[in-house]
Amino acid sequence: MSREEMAGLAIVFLVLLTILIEAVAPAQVRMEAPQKFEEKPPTLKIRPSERWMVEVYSEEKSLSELEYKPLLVVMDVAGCSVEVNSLGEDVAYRISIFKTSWSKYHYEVKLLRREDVNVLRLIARGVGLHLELNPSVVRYINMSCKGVVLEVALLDVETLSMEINALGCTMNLTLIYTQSAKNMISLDLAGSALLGRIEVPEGGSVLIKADAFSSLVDVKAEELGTIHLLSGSQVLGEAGGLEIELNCSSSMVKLNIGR
Amino acid sequence: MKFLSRIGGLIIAPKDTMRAIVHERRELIEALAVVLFFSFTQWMAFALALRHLITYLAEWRSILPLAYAWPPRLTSSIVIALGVTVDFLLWILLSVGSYIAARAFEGSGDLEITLLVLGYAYVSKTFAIVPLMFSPLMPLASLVASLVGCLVGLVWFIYVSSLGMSEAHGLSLEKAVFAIVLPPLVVIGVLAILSLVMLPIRIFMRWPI
Repeated sequence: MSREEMAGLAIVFLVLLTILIEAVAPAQVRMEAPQKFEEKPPTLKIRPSERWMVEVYSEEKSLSELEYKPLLVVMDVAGCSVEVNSLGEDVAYRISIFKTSWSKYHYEVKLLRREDVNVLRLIARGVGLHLELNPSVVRYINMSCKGVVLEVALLDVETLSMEINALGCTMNLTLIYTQSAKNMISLDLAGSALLGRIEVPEGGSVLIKADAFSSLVDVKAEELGTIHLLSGSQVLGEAGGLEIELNCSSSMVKLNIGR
Repeated sequence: MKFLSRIGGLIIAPKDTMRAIVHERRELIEALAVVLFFSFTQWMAFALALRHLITYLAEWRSILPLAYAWPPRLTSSIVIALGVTVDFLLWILLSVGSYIAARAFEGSGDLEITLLVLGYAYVSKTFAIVPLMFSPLMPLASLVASLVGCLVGLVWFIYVSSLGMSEAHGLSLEKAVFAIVLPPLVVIGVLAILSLVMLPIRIFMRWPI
């Protein structure tokens, strides 16, 4: 084989090798992609250290004290870390509010007793709020959040509708329904990130209405399909059971709906 | 193997190889094969490198909604198809231009030999292709290296095709260089003059620029 032939072979080999390497080798991702952030939203567990978080308020009401009436929760929180968890036993709700030793804070807790329902009203600014609710009495939660790190984990929920209005929040939402009743979850997000998991019983119908503007909405519903939106609207599923309404603006949502 | 030796020879011994190509008067289909092979591989390598660069900068779906809506595979195919078409047309137009210039310099060759010489000179694209091999690891650096390779390749293209033109048309090397460089320069000059002339006319007539 002559020198020229070897050089020609090398050239063709190098050119084809270039294409092969480029096509097969995985690309490098250096900049932190929003999806990666979305998969693991930074959650701030409240009460990280007793030294820094001081309990300023604590309240507990039993089911009998509330006469076993349904409970509605209305929250207006800003600049807080909020945890909402399930609670068993005979306790209807338990509230703990923590302050930090370096920031200004404000809170108001009111229990309004109506004829047929109880309404728990919470207003909080710059605190760590830990709310435990008994899923057997809580029927409706309304949250207005601004700059909040929110973690909701309500398990064994029978009937619960929820409305969250979030601006600049990071949220982790876990809801597990034990009954396929008609419930409504409305999430209105602006500049927020939400990672959610909702479970409904087998055979329960789910309807998802997603409306996104400059957002990244990823909804995966078992047996129904997926929604992937950047801007626009999409509807998935059928009415009659759980209805989820998503309104997102400059937000990231990753929601898994399972059975 | 002879075909491969001509490709290799244009890089390691361009003078002798070009002389052999001209005097053996190879088939025009060989030159076409060289043009299409090097053009296709260059644009494919470029499209893949571009995809690596975009992925490197940010994930497609979140940063570039348009790119997500418009599948990258389709974008790559369009880039490759357009690139190969432009390269093919450039080969024909440059050959015709160089042939006319060579005739003006009293060259004796024909258009077919000019097409053959310029087609084989497309081997110089190798300099632009090979640096893109590193695009999965260093997308930006490899594209910059490929750009430098393009310039090296351009110089090599002018040198190799001038050798061929000199051999094919019986011109001196200086005249052959002019025959290669002149047509594109004339086109660029005419376009520049036209745009300069049209600008005041458009402003005067208030046509949209």
